[in-house]
Amino acid sequence: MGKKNAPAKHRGPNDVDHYGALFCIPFVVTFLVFSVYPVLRTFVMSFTDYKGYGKADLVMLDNYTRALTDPLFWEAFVNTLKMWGINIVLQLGLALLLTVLFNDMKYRMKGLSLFRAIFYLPNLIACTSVAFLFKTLLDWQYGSVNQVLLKAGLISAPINWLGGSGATAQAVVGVVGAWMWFGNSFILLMAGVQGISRDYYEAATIDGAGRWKIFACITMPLLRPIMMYVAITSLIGGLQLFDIPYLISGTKGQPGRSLYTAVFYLFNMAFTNRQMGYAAAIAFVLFAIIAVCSFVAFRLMNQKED
Amino acid sequence: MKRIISLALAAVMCLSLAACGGSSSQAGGDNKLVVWTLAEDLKDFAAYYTEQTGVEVEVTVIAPADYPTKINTTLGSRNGDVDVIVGEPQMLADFYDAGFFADLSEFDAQASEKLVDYVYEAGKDEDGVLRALSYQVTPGSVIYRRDLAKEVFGTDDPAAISEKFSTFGAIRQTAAELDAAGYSIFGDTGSLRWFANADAPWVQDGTLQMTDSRLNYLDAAVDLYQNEYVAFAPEWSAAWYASMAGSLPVNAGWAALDELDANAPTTQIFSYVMPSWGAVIIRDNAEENKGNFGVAKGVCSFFGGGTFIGVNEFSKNQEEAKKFVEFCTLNEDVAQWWLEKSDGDVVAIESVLEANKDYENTSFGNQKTYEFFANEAAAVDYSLVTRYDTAIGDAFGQAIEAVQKGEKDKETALNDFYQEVKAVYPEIKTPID
Repeated sequence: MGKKNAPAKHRGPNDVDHYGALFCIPFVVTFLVFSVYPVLRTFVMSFTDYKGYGKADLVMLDNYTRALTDPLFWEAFVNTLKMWGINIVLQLGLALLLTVLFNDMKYRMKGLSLFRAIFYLPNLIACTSVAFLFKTLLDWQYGSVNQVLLKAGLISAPINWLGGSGATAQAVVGVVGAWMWFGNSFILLMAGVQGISRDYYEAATIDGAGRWKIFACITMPLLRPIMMYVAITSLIGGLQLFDIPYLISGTKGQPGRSLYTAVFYLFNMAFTNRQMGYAAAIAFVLFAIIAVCSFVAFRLMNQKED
Repeated sequence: MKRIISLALAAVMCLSLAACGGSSSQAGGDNKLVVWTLAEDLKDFAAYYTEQTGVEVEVTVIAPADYPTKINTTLGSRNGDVDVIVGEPQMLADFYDAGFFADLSEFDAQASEKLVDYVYEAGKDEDGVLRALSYQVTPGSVIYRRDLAKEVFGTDDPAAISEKFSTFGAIRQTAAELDAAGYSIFGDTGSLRWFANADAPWVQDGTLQMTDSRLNYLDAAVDLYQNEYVAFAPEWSAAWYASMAGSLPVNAGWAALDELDANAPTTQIFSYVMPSWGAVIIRDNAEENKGNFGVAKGVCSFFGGGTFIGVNEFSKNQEEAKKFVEFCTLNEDVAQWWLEKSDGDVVAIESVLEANKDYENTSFGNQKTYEFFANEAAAVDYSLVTRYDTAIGDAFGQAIEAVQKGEKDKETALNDFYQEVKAVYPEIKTPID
């Protein structure tokens, strides 16, 4: 009697070995068709002069050379960084302030769940609605913001928030972004703070440390990984900023070209100027920049943790 | 039980998927023609064609902003379900390059003989092959208020008013005179954009043409804006429409009429620079001012818009489709029918325009508007139009706006404009190269 004389394994009707693969097929097919294929097709398109119709001639690396030497693309990229910079400072600053308030052992503020939900609400509103809301509120002739400020005597003439200086318009977009995302950051920071052991705070309090000393020496260092995570994910999203500046500027990037972001520029190249090949190259240049930024940020984060 | 419910749900899903397809029109069956257009006009032409020939025509009207995408997507896959397609002039070059419009050379002789020159030229691709025809011409004019002209200039004669708009310098002078009398020359400075191609195309022999005329246009636009010679009511705004019937508040912008301050200072707009279809808009919004307008010439003859009809290269019903196109664009009786039915549209067949040239338009002070528009259409120089006009025109408009608002000085704005042209069309030589 040996293994070679053992009867062949009988596969019954309830054998689930193959079902796993079968259930994966719909997702895999959808992923290949709607995610992988478009990316590959775009990559191939980036080496041609395709206009969205007709035939496409191969131009090899001309589109990439053009993107790397295009002053308007880099101007749009710098605009993106400016708007993201204002956004992340306000977003993280406000989220951190609220986190400290709600986590304060002395005040013991109530209603955390309710406030968490309220702060997160702006994130649930569609970007289109947000853009039109702020465009209406900030209209320099009839907007509510100017009306309130005038009535309160804080300004003597309406401020042209979105049509005057480019820096003001960029600041507005940054503030709108912070308003939309600070709730999300608050939730993440609160989760991070609640993961810090209470023993540290009690020991510090016993040792006579004040509120700000505790914040600087315990809360901030231990929150750094979460803050880095928020900053990195915000950077990845921020470099793809498009909808708010596109809609709030009336699709023209005005005033001047101050609200022109890198993706806005890509969109115009592809769908207004019908230069699909060049737009595809811009997309991959952006992808490379985001990938490098993410890699560097993650390395820094891991080093700090070590 | 679970298996029965699963099977039933799967069957419902399959049925819903089946219902998604098969509802689009099928061309060619029973000689039915399928037309995709961006203007309501072709519905009337289709009904008349069916009445005359018995051939059924199904017309789908697509919003102009969506039309190029729809055509590119559908015809890009060589779909033959559509028989007749259209395009506005700025779309035609791209459509010709894409191979969407079939060859209409069999109508070449008729078209060159019957149609206004620029319509015939616009219908040809860069190899000179005829691919589209139009039933209308859309020459431009300065549509002015006769009563205000008499008050300020002492005359409402079209020839005299034409002199007042003959150059950009004359326009600045006219604007100052009107402002002194309490009126605004235009709704906004965008009215001047129609004269951007006064003396040269934007691009010639691969080089951007920044002519003296274009620099004068920029100076005039800045002057009119900064001296507040315009009403700051953008074209298509509620206040702009309302101005055709009388006065409007200054600086109304895009606000709805009920949002405007009733105590704000008011003005009246003296003139509107628009293609011939604009005359219809003014007629329809003039209310008590109907009959109080006239048409005059501007800095140059121009045209704007217009529906050009062609046959889908991939249609399985090309013969019938070509008959429809010929019916709409090269038939004198149909042109006369359309002229009367539309009550204002200017047809493209020269003999019909000539036959109606003595028509006195009561909406325009009994002026012979067909004669005027026929002459203007004949004077349009189509060689001044290029495929770069839309993108370069928009970029130039943004440069002008930056100078108007004091965001940039003229030199910086022009340099930025050249950079933008270079970024979009690296093959074009600009003054900064």
